[in-house]
Amino acid sequence: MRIRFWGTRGSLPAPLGVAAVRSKLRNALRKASGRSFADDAAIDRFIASELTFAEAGTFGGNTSCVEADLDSDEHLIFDLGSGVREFGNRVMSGAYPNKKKVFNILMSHPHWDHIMGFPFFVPAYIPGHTIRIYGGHSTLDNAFRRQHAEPSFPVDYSQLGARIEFITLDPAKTHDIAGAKVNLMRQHHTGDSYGYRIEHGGKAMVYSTDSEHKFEETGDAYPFVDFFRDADLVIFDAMYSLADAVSIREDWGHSSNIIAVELCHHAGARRLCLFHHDPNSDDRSIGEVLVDTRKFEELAREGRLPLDVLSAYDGLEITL
Amino acid sequence: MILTLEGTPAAVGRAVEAVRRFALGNGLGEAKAAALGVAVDEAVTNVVRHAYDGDPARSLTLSLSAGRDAVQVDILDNGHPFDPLAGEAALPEGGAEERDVGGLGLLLMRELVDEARYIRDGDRNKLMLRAFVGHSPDRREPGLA
Amino acid sequence: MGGMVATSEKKVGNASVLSPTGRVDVETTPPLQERLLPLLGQAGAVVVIDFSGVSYISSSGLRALMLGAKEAKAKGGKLAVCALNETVSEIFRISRFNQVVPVYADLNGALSALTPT
Repeated sequence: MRIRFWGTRGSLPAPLGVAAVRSKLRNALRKASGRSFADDAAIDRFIASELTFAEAGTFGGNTSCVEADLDSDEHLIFDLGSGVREFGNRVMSGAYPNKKKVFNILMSHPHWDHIMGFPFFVPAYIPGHTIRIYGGHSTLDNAFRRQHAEPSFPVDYSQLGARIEFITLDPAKTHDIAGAKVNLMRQHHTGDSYGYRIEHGGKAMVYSTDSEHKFEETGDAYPFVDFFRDADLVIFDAMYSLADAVSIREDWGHSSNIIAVELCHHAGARRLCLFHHDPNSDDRSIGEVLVDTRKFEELAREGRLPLDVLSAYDGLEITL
Repeated sequence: MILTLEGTPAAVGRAVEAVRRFALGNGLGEAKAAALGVAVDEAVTNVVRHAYDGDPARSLTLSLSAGRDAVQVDILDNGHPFDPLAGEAALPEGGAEERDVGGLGLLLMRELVDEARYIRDGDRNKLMLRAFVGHSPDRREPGLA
Repeated sequence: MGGMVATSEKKVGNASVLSPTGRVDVETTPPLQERLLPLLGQAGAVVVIDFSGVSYISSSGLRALMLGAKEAKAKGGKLAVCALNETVSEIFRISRFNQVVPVYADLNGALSALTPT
């Protein structure tokens, strides 16, 4: 399975501004001063070896939307944040010749940043397309209808051309969606959220965002340890530092990189991807959190094999 | 243990020997240690030839770790994006010399180690090879209540 | 995976000094927390946790410190830690707990800062 990250930012889109671009340029030129480059390839080599990702790239600004591209003729997507606009454009460009126009959406919850991309998801406007929106909440459709209604949006929900179905999933059962085995678990978040574990082709991935964990109170018996067990990839909301998550932002419904690593270690997960970046964080601080998280993973490892730690960015692709 | 190697064919032998010794010292049997060594040979050769275009000025990093029941080798480079696991696992037609590199690499990784993962992380290629002491454990089903 | 924590306690002037040893993790934190919170429940209490014998602290241990810091604030007391080894010091930095609880290099430094003469 191939995982594509279309939106990785938490709470609100956070586009890169002029000041940030200028600062990246200044930094790159400073590091390149005195050098000459024979060709573009030499420039690319310099960028790859002398600049960090946070310096040369950006973690991106769209809100939550992740695609699991499976060996299946239907699409599978997690959440409809602002990132889904670009996924829709890719669909419309004909990039998926082997897939039907059937979109299976697994919703963590209907908070605004997780649904805001839907009015700009072009495939929803086209008759003949099918969109199935799944979730643990039984009233998801209200949230979608409301954001399309006047005076918030010019095109009413009833004008959408695609056939749209809402399907409530029972967390006590295993579901078969787009050829994948899907389990879900209720998470601690205002109004509840749901994490998903999907298994397909011998690989397992977990999408767990907008979840506050009280792991430090419960240890190995914590049910999420089993939910994450041996996963090849865990996408995890690590929006805050641990100190913030347990103090001034307690009960804000998010978690930290420390809890992420501890949970993944206990579960024997292979790879952790930090997700739902704070819109108040710039590229440099998200890059620093990644460096720190890798350091902590080493300190906390204690006889375990390395857990690979990544930080999600808009455009990241991972093949499992 | 962290090894930094120059991007030359001569570095390959050093990497393989270091990995083999590390694996033997951490509980892997001769055969499995040798198999892991061959997988590392393939992987480092790929980096030198493909990701670095044979540029000897560029270095790559091997990170060796031992857990209670397995050994892991991470191979990191900052060359062109290159996924040795991409492509079909089938043997291409023709002799060994004519096999395309991706196909052979994938076969070797799949056959010689218990787990192989690749990620293009920012501007780095990272290949992770894992060999278990004894047999590869079965993936447990999630114990969902 | 918890090592035993044998926490010794002593009085230095009006300050209480707790000295846990081994790992402070999900298994060993509860007994430490049960001694820490009652101490800080007394108005104006001064408590220093001496980490010189501690090899590792997990999120559960950090959380106990957070509860302690809150209790100290509520009751007008003070809580500080000292003598962190390199690993524990890194964990404090990465988790930002060095901004939650004052960290001192050694016990004397902590005591002289918290109990001015």
